[in-house]
This record gives sequence, structure tokens and C-alpha cells, in this order.
Amino acid sequence: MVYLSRFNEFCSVANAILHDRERAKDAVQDAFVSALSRRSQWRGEGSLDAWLWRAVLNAARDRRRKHEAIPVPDTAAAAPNEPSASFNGSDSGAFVDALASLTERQRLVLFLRYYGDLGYREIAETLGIKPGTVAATIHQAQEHLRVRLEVAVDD
Amino acid sequence: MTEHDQLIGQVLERWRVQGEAPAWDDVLARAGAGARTRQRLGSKRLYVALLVAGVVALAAPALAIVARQLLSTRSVPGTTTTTHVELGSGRSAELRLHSSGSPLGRDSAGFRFLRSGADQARSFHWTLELHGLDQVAAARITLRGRVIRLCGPCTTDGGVFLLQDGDALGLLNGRATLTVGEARHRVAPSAGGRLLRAKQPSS
Repeated sequence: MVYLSRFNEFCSVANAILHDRERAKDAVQDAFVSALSRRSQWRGEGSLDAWLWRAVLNAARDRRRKHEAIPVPDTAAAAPNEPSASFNGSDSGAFVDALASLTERQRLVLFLRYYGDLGYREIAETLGIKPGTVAATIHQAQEHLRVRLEVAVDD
Repeated sequence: MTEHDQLIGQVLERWRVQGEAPAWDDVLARAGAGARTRQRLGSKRLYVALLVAGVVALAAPALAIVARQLLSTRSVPGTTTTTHVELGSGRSAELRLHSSGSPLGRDSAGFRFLRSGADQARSFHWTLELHGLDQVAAARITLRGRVIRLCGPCTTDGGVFLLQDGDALGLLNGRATLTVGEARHRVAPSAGGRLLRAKQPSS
């Protein structure tokens, strides 16, 4: 069952959008409640996974819109599952800033790729874009981040 | 993998959620509750729709009358009518009447004024202008057998008179006659003209 097997991945993507673990979980719950209530509207076109991912993204983005001033987490404060980093906190902060400077699509593609481990085709289906666009978007996002980080390091 | 790619991975990793327990029962309960609520709402909407349909069916005749009144009448804030009376030999008199009061309705064709409901008095401001002569013996309006004496003897003159709603409508609907006499004596020449139907003031 997708919900059970990928729950943490859904929560991770929602958390990356909302920067709040509890609200991320709530968004995933809302997404599945909504999906279950509207299951008759799923016409079987495309994959069920993509439909569910889309529901999670929409729920998280709705929550973010309702609470516009989502504070970006203090990057110096370690998250519970943060790995031991070889980079210091200021570098991480620069990355968070750089991430925030990406376009919405670039961020979502990155999150789906990283947390959901989705292929280009699945990401494309989830976001309603072409697989080629996904590849280009990931490339652009990574380049953008590299440039931003180099500037930050130079500073 | 470059140093930057590692950093990307590390920072993204801070938002990774692990070890959260799914709550499928909660999803099922909420989805079920939502479905039941929608079902109840659906039944309620059907009930309300049937109720409204019943009320509309019962009240249709009354609603039609009201709608006809609303759609077919236009409010007229003030009305003005002018009547020209030829007295011969290039002499003439002209009466200008302006009615003010509560707005009046008109029929769907716009030709007749309609009773507004309450029998209220309307005031009529009149002005008499004489052309080719300085004075006439009298000017009066005849309406439903009643005579409204405006002036006598009259020069270029003006004044105000009041009429109840019914008479006012009669006057405005062209059922009154203006008579201008050159002498008080009955055999003296006089001329009359039917009051023109009132029209909305141009200004």
C-alpha cells in the first residue's frame, strides 16, 4: 500500500515545502483524506502514485499559502535526524538561502527526486510536465545552487 | 560527486522525515466522516430544493403580479406638461405645469401613470405666459367636473395648487382641460385646450 510504504517520503517532501514536521504530517494526512474522498474522480489515466504525490504537493502548498510567513528553520539548530555534517552551519545557511531562490518548480523537482526517489517520468507525471523538462529543471536547479554556493563561499 | 552535491544532499537531508508512524485509521475515519457529511448535505440540499420548489409553485401567481409591477413600472421623479392655447389674431397663452411628489409608476408601454398605492397629495407648480396680450380674464382647469381656478384676471403669472393622487393622475394622464377667457362675462371669447399628457422633464 502506497500510503504505508511511502509515508515518510511523503512527509519528507511536505516537510521540505513547509519546514515544519508536524504540519507536514498533517498535510499528508489531509492529502490522503482528500484522495480517498475523491477516489471516484481518479479516472485511471496515469499512475496512481503520481496522483497521490500530486495530492500531497497540493496539500502542502495549500498549507503554506494559508500560513504565508513560514519561518525558515534555524540552520544552525540541528534537526533530530541531521547527519554529522562536514560543512559548518553558515554553509548550510547559505544553501537554504540558495534553495529558497530556486523557482517553485525547481524545488519540487528536487524534492521529488531526492526524497521520493522518483524517476523523471514519474516526476513529470506528478507535475504535469514533460520528462525532458524534468531533466532540464534538475540541471538548472543544481547549476543555480552551485553558483549561489560558490558566491557564498567566496564571500 | 562534488563538494556542492554533498552539501545539497546534507541540507536536504535535514528535512527528511524518518520513523513517523502512518495513521491510516485516522485517514479512513476522516474520509468516512467526510463522505457521510457530504451524503447528509446532499440529502439536505435535495430537501431544501424541494421545499423551495413547493413554495415557488404556491406563490407563483403572487410573485408574477409583483414581478409585473416591478418590471413594468418606471419611477418618474417629476413631471412637466405644457399646454398652448390659441386665442386668435396672434395671441396665445401657455400654461406650464410641473408636478412634484412621491415617484409615480408608469405602465409597461410608458403611456399612463399608475397609482402609487397611498393616496397622497401632489403639488403642481404652474406658470402662465401670455403672448400678444397683457392680460386675460381667467384661467382655469376642468378636471372630472371640478374646476381649478388658477387666476383671474391674469397677467403672466404663476402659483401652486394641490391635488389628491386620483385627480393628479387624471390630470397627468391628459383628462383635464385648460380654459383661458379674455373677459369675465360668459359671452366673452374664450378658448380651451386639453392638457397634454405629462412628460418627464428634459433637464
